[in-house]
Amino acid sequence: MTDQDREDGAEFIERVARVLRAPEVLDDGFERRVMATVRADGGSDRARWRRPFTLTSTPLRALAMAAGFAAIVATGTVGVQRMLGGPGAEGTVATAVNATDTVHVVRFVLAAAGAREVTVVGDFNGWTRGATRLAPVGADGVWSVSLPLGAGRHEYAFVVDGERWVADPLALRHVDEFGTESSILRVGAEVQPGA
Amino acid sequence: MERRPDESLVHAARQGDVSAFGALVHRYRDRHARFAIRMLGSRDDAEDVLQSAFVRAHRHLAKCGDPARFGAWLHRIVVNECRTFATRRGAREQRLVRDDLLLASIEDESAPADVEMRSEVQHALAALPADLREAFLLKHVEELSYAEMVELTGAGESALKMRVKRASDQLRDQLEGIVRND
Repeated sequence: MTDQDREDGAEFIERVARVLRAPEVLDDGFERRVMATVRADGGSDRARWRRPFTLTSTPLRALAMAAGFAAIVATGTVGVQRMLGGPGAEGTVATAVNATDTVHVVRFVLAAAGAREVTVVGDFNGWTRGATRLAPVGADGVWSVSLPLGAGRHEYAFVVDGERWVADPLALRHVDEFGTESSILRVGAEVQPGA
Repeated sequence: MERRPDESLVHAARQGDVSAFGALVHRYRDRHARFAIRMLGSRDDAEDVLQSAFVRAHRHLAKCGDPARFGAWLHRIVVNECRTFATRRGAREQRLVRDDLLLASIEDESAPADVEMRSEVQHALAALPADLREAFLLKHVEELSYAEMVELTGAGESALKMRVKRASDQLRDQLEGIVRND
């Protein structure tokens, strides 16, 4: 193919594309239908999460939760040490402990030097930013929080300073249909990030 | 009136402000309508798909990682909804698209020669396999870069370039002599 052929081909495609670039305008009725459906569908994830719900607990469950939190204290240090492997490195790790019965406490840890605020979002809190804050651990930019989670597969990510979305580099990644990257944690008999 | 940034509207909508989401619908409806109409070859189908995309976007607004890039995030949802719809429509596609294009050309008030050319171009586009049609539209009609297309579709750059080339070749075969120089 000569340069002239290529040029002619590009011009031809541009003429076709120009026809297809003509704008399309939807009428206001479309907008009304969309907004009526949105209202009927209910709120966003956040609004759903804020709806009242009932939490039931039993003495056995309370005992199991207490055992889980105690165990977390013992393993939390391990998680932080793993994460601080490189000087000044930023990385994340989620460590999990399998408690007795049905309650599992998972410790989420993030190394984010210079961060002012770190939260974790996931299916367990309705992806609500600000609902679950991590607390600073020492003065090295390490943040941590422990959460009781139900058994099964969970998706999560961290949000730094209310803006930056950070998936866990040490866990299995999942890109959802909206292009958002999050991390996968399986809680159960074998509790491992991304296992 | 000063244009309120997407980021601010997304934050407000996440707090339950439905009118903020309405402003986003108003801002993006026509921009994505063109892609959906060209992709599906039917205005009615495109409206259904866009409605579904907006409802899904509202439902999952908390998962919009970068609210300042809401438009790009929504575009990905629209592309996915179009794919799902086109797959479901399957074998009925060719007949429906042809019927819709004929109806649209009857209602068009432009000069007959322009109407005919537009109709032929849209029919040739509709005859392309969906993945080639999608790549061609994103590259040449939405005028995205390949980097943006990779982000939007999840496909590799070389695969996308191949799709655009094959789409262009097939359109040229069908439309040579019909699309005028002007």
